[in-house]
Amino acid sequence: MAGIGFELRKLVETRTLRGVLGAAFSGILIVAGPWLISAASLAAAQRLPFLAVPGIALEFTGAMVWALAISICASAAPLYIFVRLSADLIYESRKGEAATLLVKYAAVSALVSIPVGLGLALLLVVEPLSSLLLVLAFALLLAAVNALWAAMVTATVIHKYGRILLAYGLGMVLMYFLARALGPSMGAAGALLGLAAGYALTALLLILASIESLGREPCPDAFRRLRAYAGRYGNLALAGLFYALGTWIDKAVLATFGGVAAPGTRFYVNPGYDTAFYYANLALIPGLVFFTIVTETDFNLDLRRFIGYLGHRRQPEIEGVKTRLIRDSALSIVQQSAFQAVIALGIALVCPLFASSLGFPIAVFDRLLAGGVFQLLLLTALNMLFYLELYQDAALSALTFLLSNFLMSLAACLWGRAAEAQGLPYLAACALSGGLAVTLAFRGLHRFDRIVFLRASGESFGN
Amino acid sequence: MRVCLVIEGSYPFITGGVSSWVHELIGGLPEIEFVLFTFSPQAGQEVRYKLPPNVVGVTDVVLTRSAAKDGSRRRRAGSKERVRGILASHIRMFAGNSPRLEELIGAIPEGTPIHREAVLDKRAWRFVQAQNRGRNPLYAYSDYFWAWKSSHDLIFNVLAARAPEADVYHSLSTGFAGLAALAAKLRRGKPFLLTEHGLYHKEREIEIRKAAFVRGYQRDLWIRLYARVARMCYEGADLCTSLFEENRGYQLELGAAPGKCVVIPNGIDVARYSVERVKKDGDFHVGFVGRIVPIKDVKTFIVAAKLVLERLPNTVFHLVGPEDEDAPYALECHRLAEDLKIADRLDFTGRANVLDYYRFLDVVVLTSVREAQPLVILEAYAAGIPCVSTDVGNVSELLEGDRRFMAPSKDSGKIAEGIEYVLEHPEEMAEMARHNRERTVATYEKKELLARYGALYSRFESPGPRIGPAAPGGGA
Repeated sequence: MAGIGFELRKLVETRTLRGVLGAAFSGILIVAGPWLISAASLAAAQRLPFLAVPGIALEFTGAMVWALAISICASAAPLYIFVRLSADLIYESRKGEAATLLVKYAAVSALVSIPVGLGLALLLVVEPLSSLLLVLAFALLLAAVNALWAAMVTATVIHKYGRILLAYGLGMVLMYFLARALGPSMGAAGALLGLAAGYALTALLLILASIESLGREPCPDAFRRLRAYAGRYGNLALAGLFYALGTWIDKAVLATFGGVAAPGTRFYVNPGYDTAFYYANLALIPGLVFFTIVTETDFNLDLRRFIGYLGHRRQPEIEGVKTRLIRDSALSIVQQSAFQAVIALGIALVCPLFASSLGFPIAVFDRLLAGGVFQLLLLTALNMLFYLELYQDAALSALTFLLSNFLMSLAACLWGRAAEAQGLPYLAACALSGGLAVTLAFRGLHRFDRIVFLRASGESFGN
Repeated sequence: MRVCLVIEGSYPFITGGVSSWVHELIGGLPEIEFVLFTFSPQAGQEVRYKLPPNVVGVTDVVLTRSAAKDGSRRRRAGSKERVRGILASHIRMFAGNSPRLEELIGAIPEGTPIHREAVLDKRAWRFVQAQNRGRNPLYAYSDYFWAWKSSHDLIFNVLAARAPEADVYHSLSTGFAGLAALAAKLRRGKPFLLTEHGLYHKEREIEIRKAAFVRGYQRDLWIRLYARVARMCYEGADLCTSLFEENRGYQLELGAAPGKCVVIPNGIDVARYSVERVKKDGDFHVGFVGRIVPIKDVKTFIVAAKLVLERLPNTVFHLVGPEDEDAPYALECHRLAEDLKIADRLDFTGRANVLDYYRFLDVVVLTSVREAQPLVILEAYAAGIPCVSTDVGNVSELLEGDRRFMAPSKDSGKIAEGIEYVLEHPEEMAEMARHNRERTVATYEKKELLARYGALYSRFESPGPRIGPAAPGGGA
């Protein structure tokens, strides 16, 4: 998203209140617009009268959470490979091919998702005969969400934020009205179908916007190229997979051991913890905006300058730029972390005022807020490792996140301390893996000149 | 007994003087088994010779092969020690001392490409940077890095190559072949015999100075590298042979011990070239025998032909040799002949049996810019044909310093004068041909050459005192 960061920075550099507020507002819309609109739409849908029935609400929430989690985890590896190939095509000014690749990828991932979704739903819905509609709705939702991920990623490069927000808005309006229309007769399945249709419409509109902006050219052998990229950037795919699993694994473990599911389904959820996590994640938005405008953009500029110097400049000049790159990156990370910590602290101080209406323990929420500070650190460092193409280190960091979160959550559940430990595994895993990722990223920066020359010699390193 | 011939860029993939020499040596010593350990610029080169039955193996190493394909991605055990050993040797070298060869070569075991370690290891990287600061402070670092990398990659490929098992390692040059033979000697404890036709490092230096794309520090680095490798080979060889005294002098200058340097001149099968001479039609026939490549400076020959034809229009020029080694250059030669309007008097024969031409050629001309002891002159002498040549390598000795038949490099006018002199003095030439043939029989007979190399091999095989760097001596 460094390109977006450049544009927002122009607004900030006007040094006017309007510019700064505009940049902040635009940043929030870009990094969290779809997220916020979805949340608002879901919140609105959940207030529909038929979803007020506890069983139906739980069925809807459970199926939706599981569909999103499965989709994020299952599509992470191919999605990262897709993103890498798309980015390369766009960098090589083959934008029309990138648009075609998006169409093919979104279509195939949606088509593949339907039988997979049906199979999974048949496993998760215990009484299939009476819930065939729910099974079908689950599969369609999975297909729509999988297509949406690819469309969202590609849409970030077209720089038509109004069109993007419009696509989300229209999708969510469709979702709301369809859920309202189908819900009374179909229950949770109707709401899910509405959600799936909303996501599908959003994906379709984003794809059309991308095609309009990027053009359309044949992209022959798209899947052969994706396979080749998967072979070449296997660690990138693993990094995506591990990170996605890591973000969900504590929820899955806690829900499995102490969660609840709607009758006749195995869509276990842990409403208190899941809601706390959801709100804590919203607190990441300011940090993500900071990351987009400052950290990533600075890093991108400094890294490009450094790589440029490697080819043409004298050694003292190269060393000077390298020192600056390392120093500025460290400073940005410290500033970003401090900024996010202040935000988290502010929210933590305000939260007790609304404790009675939140529906989750404040202590758990505080842990998740603290964990968010480290998760942002992990995300930032992973992003740096991606820029340096040190995918092996990125995969290692993400695996650390996954394993530590999983093992600590499991240990807490096995010792019967799941309730007390809620949020702690996530906090510890984020801190551990964030620290590791930052260490690896700076190790990579320190020897990046060597790595660049090694790669220029035809050798691979860290891919 | 098994001899490993270590060869760079010639036999059995390239035809020419050294390749012919090697082919004759192998064929002439059928009781000895030979294995070929060759270094080539690219893979899959066509074998140009029918290998004699006593060649029992060929191991070809591609010099420019990327180590990434050899599975060097993973850092191997002992990497730190290897890098430390290599750096210690370099520090000694940069301090003006000879490197400890055992230490340097021992640091890189066979089959262990270290290209990756050499860049990625922190100490190696810092060492390269320190050298850059000292030697190349005013120019881009990448210039220095790539000069260092490209030169050392070749060395790493050579030292990582697994040499075939043999009783003697016989290198046909210094450079990468010599380095490989030296490494094999130190690793296997077997003798290392070095035979030089030309002077490899001098030839490379001339090429580098002429190459427009090698400039500044890169040029100096390559020249120093080849000289350094040559010195290591001379110091490490158990015996150095050269074709003539002048080259022996250069070997001594670069560190070879006097007792280890001997001259063994080229030799040819005189009987084979003693053809029955015939007079072909009424024309005068001038021959160029060799590959159509720049080093032979065929263009000077063509310009000389033009000059001769202006005075002696009944002359025919035969260019007997393959054109496929450097096809663009061969095409340029054809175009030059057309531009000079003498194409109808030039006969590009392509690959041909030289004996068919020695029967009727009136003079053989050599226009090379570089030679050692050209076999073509010896062949012509054996066939009873006078020669005109540029004054390169050992030509002066072969032509007994007779300035009438020698020209400076690229002097087509002087070459033309020599050809005309031969045409205009047939009686003198007949007498000279007899004299030259007698000299060839006495000094440059192949049987003698084979006997001397056979004896050398036997001497190295015998379980007598070990010949090695610690116990020099023992010439031929």
